[in-house]
Formats: sequence, structure tokens, C-alpha cells
Amino acid sequence: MIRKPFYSLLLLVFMLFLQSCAPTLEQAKKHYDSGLRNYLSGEHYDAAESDFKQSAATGFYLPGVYASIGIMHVKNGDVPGGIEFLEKEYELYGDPLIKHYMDFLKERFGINNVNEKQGE
Amino acid sequence: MKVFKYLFPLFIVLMIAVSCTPAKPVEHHPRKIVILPVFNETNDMNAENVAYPMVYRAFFDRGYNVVSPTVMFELFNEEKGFHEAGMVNAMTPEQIAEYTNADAVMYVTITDWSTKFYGVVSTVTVTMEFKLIDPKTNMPIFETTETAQSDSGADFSLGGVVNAIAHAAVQEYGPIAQQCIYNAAAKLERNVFHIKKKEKEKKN
Repeated sequence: MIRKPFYSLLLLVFMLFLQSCAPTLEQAKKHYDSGLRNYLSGEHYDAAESDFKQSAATGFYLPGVYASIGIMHVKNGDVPGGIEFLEKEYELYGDPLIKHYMDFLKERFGINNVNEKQGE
Repeated sequence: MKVFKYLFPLFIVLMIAVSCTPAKPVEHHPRKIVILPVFNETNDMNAENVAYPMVYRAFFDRGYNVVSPTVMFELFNEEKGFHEAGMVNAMTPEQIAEYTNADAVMYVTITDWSTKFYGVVSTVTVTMEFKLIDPKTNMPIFETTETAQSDSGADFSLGGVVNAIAHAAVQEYGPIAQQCIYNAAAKLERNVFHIKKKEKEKKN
């Protein structure tokens, strides 16, 4: 008689615990802002990349997060990898500026198709 | 000739009156805004790096579609060759909006970012100017100057001076700048609300 409500309560507590452990939108924003600060300082690109990745890892794909990860890849010399992230951002938000930036990078680094290049 | 004698001063007065009339803000509510690199007029080299993410957050959280800062900075830097915030002024708001696909262009200037001592009181002050320009008309949709301060409080005891110095040393500019930025964002929101209300009334 007592078991059923007890287990329901236990399940509820467990669910609440899981919910409290889950990353929040605030955390995603906090990581993104921290990444932006590190990026703007012009000295801490590694820290910025880590912050942007942590923001993406929360599952809240804030506008600009994938683009920022992509830019960090480009800064580290991985242009095709960077363009892949930029394409993800473009798929999500369709910002023409992202497309413009991708075209600019492709033209500058002589890249025609990222997937082809990776497949080679 | 007599007519000309009277008309000429009148013409001059009219010219002065027209040129001195303050620019009326344009009644337009933008959806996508581009926040340009913050122009820093103070001696603190890091002020714009602290302020920019806050400005971005404040306007993004109020529902504006803000152009991705990293992409904008990279494009300005790599494609246009703008290495400093002031260099963006080489482009007109219309050109910037066209380049970034934005409805409005926001200019932010930090005019004060300082700590001052008045005897036993230390005051940390942040002053920022915000100007949102309509690229089609080149007129301001919204403009405001916000100042926020934090002081240590007057304490005339011996420990007062120590307290003032400690306050100045410990006090971070971030929360004070945030106050300025959130005040500006709230004012813009109120402005847009009134514009939308007027538009609704016109339709009805």
C-alpha cells in the first residue's frame, strides 16, 4: 500500500534531480559571453574556443555559437573544419552574412567544396 | 530692392531656424540590428572588450536579431581591413546595413570609464552613448546617454580613506556598465512599444 506512492515520489525526486543537473539556457549564454570576451581580447583564442564549445555542448544552439567555433577553427589553421561549422550555423539560422563569410574564406583559401576536400 | 532688403534677413533667420532644429527620431522598429565595435574614448584599453558582450546580450535578450559579432568582426577585419573600432566610420550606415543585412545600425561609445576620489569618497563611473540609426534615412531611431555610478559612501573616520581606496580597488566596472546598457535597452524597448502602439492605432 505504501510502496506505490513512495516509488512515485522517489521517481519525482529523481526527475527533479536530473532536471537540476541539466544545462540551462543561462549557462549556454554565460559560456557564449565568456567566449566573446576572450575572442575580443585577441589573446585567448583557445579559451574562447573552449567557451564556445561548452556553450554548444549545452544543447542550446544560440545564434553565433557554431559560427564562432568555425572562426576559431579558421584561426587555428583548420579552414575546411571551420567552414563546416559555419555551414551548420547557416543551416540553423540562414544568415546571409555567414554565407558571405564562407564564400570569402573559400575564395581566399581556394576551397571549392569542403566535403570533397575532406573526402580526399 | 526694398522687398529684397526685408526678405534677405527673413531668409537668414529661416535658414538658422531650419539648421538648428534637432533631428527628430525616425519612428521605425528594427528587427535585425548590427552592433558595431564599441568606440572607446577613455584611457582604459579593455573597456570595449568588457562592454561589447554585454551590449550584445542586452539587445539579444530583448528579442532583437543581432548580427553574429564574431563573423562581423572577422569580416570587418579580414575583408574590409578595419582593425580598430573607429575605422568602421569609413562606411555609411546604409553601406553597413547592406553589408550585414541589418535593419538598423547601432553605434556605442564609451565616454567615461573611471574611478575618481573626492576626499574620503571614491566613485566609479561609466558613461555610454547609444545611437541606433535607420540606414534608409540616416536618421536616429533612438539615442540615449546613460551614466551609472557606484560610490564607497562618505566615511570621515580614519578608516574612511582606506575604505574609499579599497572600494576603488575592488569595484569592477562590469556591473556598472551593465546597468548603463540595460537602461538603454529598456528605453529602446519602451520606444519601440510606443511606435508599435501608434502603428496599431493608425491601422484601426
